[in-house]
Amino acid sequence: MQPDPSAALIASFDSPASMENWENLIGFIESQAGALLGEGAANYQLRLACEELLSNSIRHAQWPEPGSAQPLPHIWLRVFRCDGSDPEVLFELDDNGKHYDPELDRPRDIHSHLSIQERSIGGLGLFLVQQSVDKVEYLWTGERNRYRLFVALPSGLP
Amino acid sequence: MQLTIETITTDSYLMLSLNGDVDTKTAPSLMEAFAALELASLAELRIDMASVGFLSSAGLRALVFAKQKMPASAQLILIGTSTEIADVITKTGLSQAMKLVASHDDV
Repeated sequence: MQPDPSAALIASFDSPASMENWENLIGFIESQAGALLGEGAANYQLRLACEELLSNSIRHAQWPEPGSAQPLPHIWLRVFRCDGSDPEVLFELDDNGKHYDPELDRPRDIHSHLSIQERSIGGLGLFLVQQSVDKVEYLWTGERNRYRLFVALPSGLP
Repeated sequence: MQLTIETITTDSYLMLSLNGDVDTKTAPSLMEAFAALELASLAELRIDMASVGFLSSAGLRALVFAKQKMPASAQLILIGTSTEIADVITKTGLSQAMKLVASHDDV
């Protein structure tokens, strides 16, 4: 299923949801972000958002007991180019883990008004996802968690 | 990218020199490096970030861990942080707790 009629699938990659495959997953993100966005802040921020989501997917992956019929934890990555009036790229990250809606459309309070001694050590990852891309969506579709990250294409790039 | 950590001790300060990315995979080694220090007795900890290309929330958590273990009056100084990493630190409000400087001469 493609996200909308103007979106063209550019590349895809999938891998077991484990840290042993971390470099392969990040390598795919880096290469695609570099090719589409060039060097600079947009590239960095897209990698940051993807890294935070991939980290969550792997950390919460539930590996079945040997012999279980439960599917192995897996991650699917797809990259689309959307050539509408405002060209953008779309990175889709799917995992087949437990249904978890991170409510990415809800503003997150990371308690930045507190002193460093009072602040929680967690809760920064999803905040950074929200801050790092132009738009982020979550869907539960086909027994998968799907995160959709949209970033405007910079002018001047092919 | 892997992360290498070098600990440098001088008469007046302690510094960790980092080279690589501080991400989900490598941040635990930074946490281990911090845990090996006597953070509670440090007045100043410098971290050379000039060769760090990427910092995720896992890396931020390591920095917060270190600062929380240090005395409230102690300084955590990040040297040579890239624009992108400085932006992440600022967005999360952690720049209030850490001193970001361009070079060793600015400390």
